[in-house]
Amino acid sequence: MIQGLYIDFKRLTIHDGPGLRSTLFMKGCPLHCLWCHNPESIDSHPTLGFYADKCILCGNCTQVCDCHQIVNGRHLYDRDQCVACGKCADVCPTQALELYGRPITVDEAMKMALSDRLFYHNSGGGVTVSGGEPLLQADFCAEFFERLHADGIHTAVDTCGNVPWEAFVKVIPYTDLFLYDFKEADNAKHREYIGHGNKLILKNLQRLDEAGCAIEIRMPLIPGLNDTDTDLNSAGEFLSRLKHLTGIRVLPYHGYAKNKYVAVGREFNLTGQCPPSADKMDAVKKCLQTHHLSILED
Amino acid sequence: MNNSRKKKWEKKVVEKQIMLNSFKTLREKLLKQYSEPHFDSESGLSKEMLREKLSGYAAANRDLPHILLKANLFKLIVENGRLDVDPDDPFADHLDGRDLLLPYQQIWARENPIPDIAANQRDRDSGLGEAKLDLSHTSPDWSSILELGVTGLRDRALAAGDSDFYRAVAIVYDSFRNFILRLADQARKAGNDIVTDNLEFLADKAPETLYQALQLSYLYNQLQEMEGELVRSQGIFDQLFWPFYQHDNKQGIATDRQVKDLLHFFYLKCLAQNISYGKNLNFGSSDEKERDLSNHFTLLALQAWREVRTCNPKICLRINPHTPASIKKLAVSCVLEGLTGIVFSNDQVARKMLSEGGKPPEDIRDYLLIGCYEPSIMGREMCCSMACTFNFAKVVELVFAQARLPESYAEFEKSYLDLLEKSLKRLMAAAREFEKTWKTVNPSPLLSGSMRCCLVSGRDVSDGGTQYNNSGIMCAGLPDAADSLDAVREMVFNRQIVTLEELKQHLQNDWQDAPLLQAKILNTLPKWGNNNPELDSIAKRISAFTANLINHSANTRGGHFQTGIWSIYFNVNFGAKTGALPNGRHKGKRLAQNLSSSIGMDRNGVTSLINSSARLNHAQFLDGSILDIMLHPSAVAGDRGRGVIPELIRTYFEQGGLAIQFNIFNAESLKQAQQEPEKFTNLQVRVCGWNIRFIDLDRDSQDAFIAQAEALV
Repeated sequence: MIQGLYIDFKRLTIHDGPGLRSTLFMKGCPLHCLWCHNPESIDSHPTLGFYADKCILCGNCTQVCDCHQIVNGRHLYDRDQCVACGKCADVCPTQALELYGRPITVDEAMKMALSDRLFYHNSGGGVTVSGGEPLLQADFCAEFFERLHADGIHTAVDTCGNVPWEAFVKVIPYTDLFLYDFKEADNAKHREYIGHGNKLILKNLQRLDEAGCAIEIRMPLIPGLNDTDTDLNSAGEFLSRLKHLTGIRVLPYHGYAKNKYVAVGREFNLTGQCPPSADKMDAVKKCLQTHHLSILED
Repeated sequence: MNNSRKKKWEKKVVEKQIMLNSFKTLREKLLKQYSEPHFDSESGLSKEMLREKLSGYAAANRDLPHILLKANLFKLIVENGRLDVDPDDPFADHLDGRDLLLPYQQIWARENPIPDIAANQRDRDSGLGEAKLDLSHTSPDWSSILELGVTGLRDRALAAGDSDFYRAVAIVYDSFRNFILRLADQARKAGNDIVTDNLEFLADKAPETLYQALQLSYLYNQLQEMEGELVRSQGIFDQLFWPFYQHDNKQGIATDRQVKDLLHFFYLKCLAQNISYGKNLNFGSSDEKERDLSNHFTLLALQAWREVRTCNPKICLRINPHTPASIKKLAVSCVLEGLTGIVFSNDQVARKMLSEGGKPPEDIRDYLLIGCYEPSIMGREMCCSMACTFNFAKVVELVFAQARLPESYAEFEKSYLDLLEKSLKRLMAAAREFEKTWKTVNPSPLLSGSMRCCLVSGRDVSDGGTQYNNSGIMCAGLPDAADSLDAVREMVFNRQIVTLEELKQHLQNDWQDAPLLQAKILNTLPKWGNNNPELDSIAKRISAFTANLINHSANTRGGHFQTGIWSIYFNVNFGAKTGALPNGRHKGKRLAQNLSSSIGMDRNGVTSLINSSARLNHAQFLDGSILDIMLHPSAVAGDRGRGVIPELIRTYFEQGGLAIQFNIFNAESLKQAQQEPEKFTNLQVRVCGWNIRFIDLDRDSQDAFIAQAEALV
């Protein structure tokens, strides 16, 4: 049986496709977007999150692992020695320690997903895989979705697109909707903000469209990075050539993830960034509309 | 009144109403109408003189049966107490000395203690539960009151027969009429003509207009509470007042706007009375054939409620498969705006439940939620929904207190259920003793006189005179009990990590000596409300056992006991008296509220909580059950968010849930969540493409949400 590595299974998600849904967040991502709001998902192996502000210095973790010490009223955590086994998270009473990345079988995923099937059925919802980049674990996703389809449940993949086309081929037969991130049309800028060029991403998007798949474009809007008229017009031009878009959802940047960066020991390199203003959001949507693209609202 | 005079008079009503159409400016003043009354000293006896008059009468007539004595004391107050009519208030009802009857109830209770009161007090003090005389969960026969008016009710009693009971009813309703006439004079003196006219009409006739019907309704309300029984429910509001609205509409008396204004003032009465439990208005019903009975007035009255934006009165909205979308949408909009004082009740399950409780379809049509969530038949039932209170979690403690501890999980659970049975039987025995004292302690001629069924039986409500005379037992703490039993099964018997004897020691030490085990239990074992079939099945077994025991136990009034699975605030009281529990909970901490997860243990979101709750057989819980759903405004914001609540309700109801209510948190609650995050672990917020727990956000982001929430106000 194929195993996946996941971070979280969230229920009652309403922004990852139609209706009331559940979303399985998978571990691992090929990109490193400056604004990433799920930094705990990036590594493909398990990651321990340590939220110092929640620690009550009870010392439970020091009894199960040497990576934790309480010294002079301070909790010292040795990330270099940590293999993210998760024993400490199990005994932490305040969730100051959280393990990101636990193995899951398709059976287990099905069990979690099916528990809310009546909610999906009543609301026209279903199940979404997100991440991280779920298609790094395409075999798992394909089998999971095949089983969901057998039970008549709507499926959606939330993808950054930067995976081999073969990964898409595996899930296409069982996927009802692709939520496809479109971050930047310019290859050089893309490389600068995201650590990778966008050629594969754009190519996959075109092929997905040619394959007749339903695609919702998700465009994170990061003020000062990808919100100039040039950015938007190039994006608009590219997207207007696609035939199977259900629409575009513009997602305003938010800084709610800062806590998690500290917790997983990553540096947050986008300091001083503010969410776009409501006016800016309107202007962006108007600009995209000039390319005859339909904008999806909340 | 001839027709042209009537037309002229009704025109005056409208004009006066337009004048009064200044609700906003009067709101502040009228809010103080009960806390700062201005009784006219010339209108009656001072309170001291009235008190003396009452005690003189009571002393001279000590041999009179209590029901007649009570009726005459009632008469003395309403015919002699001072009055206050505010020239700006479209309703009149203020009477000095309303609290002078209550001491007699207390004296008569002291004179008639139950035989083994000490045992009952021990149970109360230990936090196990308590039996009481529950006088406060009533829904009078509003249909009779509005159909007949006070003289009609008096004459109905006189025609029904000749006994102390009928005479007492006639005395109180005759004095009610005199009270109305006194108030009419007072209103004239205050220059409040419209109130004068309404009251003069009501003295001898049943109400015809909506205005008169509302006036009578509140007057009755005040006098019943003076008699000693709280009016928890103002009835199935949209059915009761719909004919009066139609009458006014046909006569061209009032526009919808004016009707809403009038309702604003009516609702303000409920608010001004400032009683924490609130007045319950029921909306939306369906008949025997499941046809929806809601109407235009349903919408109008709900809209008026939305406009006043008060927490009192509160609303129960009955939902059937044909409830119009417009009504559901309006109710959900209220919830989304933070007007969360609405309980949604599932007619289909209620029908099944009430039918199991022995009620025929024609009565079930008139069920309402009395008090908070207890289903009862309007005007035909004394459900006494809190005759006993009971703490499921405390019984876990009792298992450990035995000399010999169980040796297997099966034995542990059996021991739990044995002790539960013993405890409940003791509480029910005490409740029966209290019931026997009822007719001596609190005869209720006014309430009984409203009820057609009491007139037929010839007996007072305190004497089992109503059609249904049941007694409810509020059972709190089911989630903590189920979690505790599961922890024992898992840690002691399955994994054998700890012996029962050791666990007993840990509990006695309030977990101080076993923090690792406690953390493991809290963090890694399943908990109620997370859609875990094995754990939920424990809750199901306990609740089914309890329901079978309680529902089949007779009381002394010709009815039976009924199981309620809810806690209201008793999760705090009981929690304070409950020791440490095997589920990892510390001594004295509050228990889970109603059917929520125990605090901080809701890990899988509200859909899982709904699925867990739906595993229970709610049709067995004859005294009601309620599920609380906690959501942040941002989780239900926008067009997509708007659809969340209706789908949650629908899916809960489809799976057999009885009643559900929502909490949408505002800035104040969020600030509290910052200070006490451990209590808000299930508060979720939408940050972008998903929901996240509020307490997982960093301080800055939390502050941003608070600012947003504050901007909403």
